Amino acid sequence: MVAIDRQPKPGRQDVLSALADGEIPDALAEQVIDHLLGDPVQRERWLIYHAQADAMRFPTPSSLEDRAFLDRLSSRLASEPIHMQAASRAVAVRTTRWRRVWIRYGMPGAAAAAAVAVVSWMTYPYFDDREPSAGQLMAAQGMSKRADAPEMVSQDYLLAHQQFAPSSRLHGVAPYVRTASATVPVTTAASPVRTHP
Amino acid sequence: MTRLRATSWVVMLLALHAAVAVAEDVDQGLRWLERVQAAPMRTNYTGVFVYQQGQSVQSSRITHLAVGGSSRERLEMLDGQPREFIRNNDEVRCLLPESRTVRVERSVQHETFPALIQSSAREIAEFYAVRRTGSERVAGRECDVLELVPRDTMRYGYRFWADRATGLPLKAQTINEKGEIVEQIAFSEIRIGGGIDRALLRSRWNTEGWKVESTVASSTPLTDWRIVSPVPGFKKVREMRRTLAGHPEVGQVVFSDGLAAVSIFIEPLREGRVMQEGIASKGAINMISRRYGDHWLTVLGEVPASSIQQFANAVEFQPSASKP
Repeated sequence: MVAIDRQPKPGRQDVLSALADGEIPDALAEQVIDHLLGDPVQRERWLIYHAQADAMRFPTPSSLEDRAFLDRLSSRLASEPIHMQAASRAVAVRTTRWRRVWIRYGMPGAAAAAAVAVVSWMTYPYFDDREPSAGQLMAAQGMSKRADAPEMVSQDYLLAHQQFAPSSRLHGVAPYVRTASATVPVTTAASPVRTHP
Repeated sequence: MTRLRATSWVVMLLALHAAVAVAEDVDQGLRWLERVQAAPMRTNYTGVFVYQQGQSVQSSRITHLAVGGSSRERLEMLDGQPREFIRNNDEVRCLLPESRTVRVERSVQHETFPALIQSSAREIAEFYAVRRTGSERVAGRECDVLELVPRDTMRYGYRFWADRATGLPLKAQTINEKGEIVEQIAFSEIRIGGGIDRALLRSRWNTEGWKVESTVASSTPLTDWRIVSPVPGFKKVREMRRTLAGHPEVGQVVFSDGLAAVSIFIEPLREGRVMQEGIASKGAINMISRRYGDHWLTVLGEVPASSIQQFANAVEFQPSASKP
């Protein structure tokens, strides 16, 4: 792991743009993000940067242009318990890597979902359709995928939940509509928690 | 003397009438609710509805017909992934064209949980104030607006627009503790009653060569786990060991208050499996995933995030003493 100067010389704003555009290599990116997330001012800049960048590229939900929303977001992140901050960091790392893949492969816009993805409590990486191209993209990031059973995604749990929910018994298959998503996938795994028994 | 007695009779009668009137309002609300709940299974209909949550909008066509002695249904997503859900009585087939997979699920009705039998409207009324608040037109039909206001902040509220003729909900909203609409489903066009083409129940897909995943479930209690419902009104309605997306030995426990449900999935950690801890929210659904010792918990349901958190915290591992 390469040590990073905690006071990046080009100026923090430039580091932010470089980070957001995927120009900082992974090994450094994690440390930079660590540094950014540890500083409330930088965290807010990170959020605003994404909102602005995406406003130029993709349609932006109005909430991200809302100053009050960003303020609340910032203070909410500041008051997160430690384990949630770790999750925020993990999501921020994934967002950075994913952004590089997006730029390289020209994936269609995700309606500023990238900026929203920094907000850990709002985004779970798999809360979307399991796209057939996801396997290719994961391979592109050097992840190995088990050949037998595919990864369980939140869609699977949601389908399983809907199966036995009283709403299904009463309303038939209509509640299954909750399992669909009309939005483009947000992120898929880049540096998840790998567990071993 | 006579006038006084007459007056006191009048007063008593008025009081009695008022008391009866109040009781009738509650009963009336419950009758509305029962009608709304029974209608989808009783009515033949086909229509297009729009499902909205957050920034996402999804149109779908749904058709329900009683054919012979069977209840058959088909939901076809019209936007995005062209998924289909086809139900024939208890069996639901989920067609996932993006992965050429058919998931077959059977929701067995003759379970021994008394709570699975439809929660009476009266039980629901214990936790929701039920009342009719007006009438509106939806999809060209006159509807009665029914509100279910939760008596606490641990569950969502609901608003139903029920077709006056049949009770079928033509529009429904789920409302959070701040009064915001977290999800809405509304028919934009609907045809109710006779003359509906059975061809609408037929899938557009030829699923030959698709992978078929059948859920295998056995209603065995999860003996090593104890979950005491932390939210009043939520009772355990299902407990089983099942396969989930091809993975065996996933425990599922479902709690419900008659309207909303929470599922708790418990599975062993699998070697090399990629796991993500986190909290997520999508529309009315909140979800938590976290590690619990050698196991992995996933808790989700259509309740506020704080209630999902409470359910997750209520899971206890209590291994039985005698183990081989």
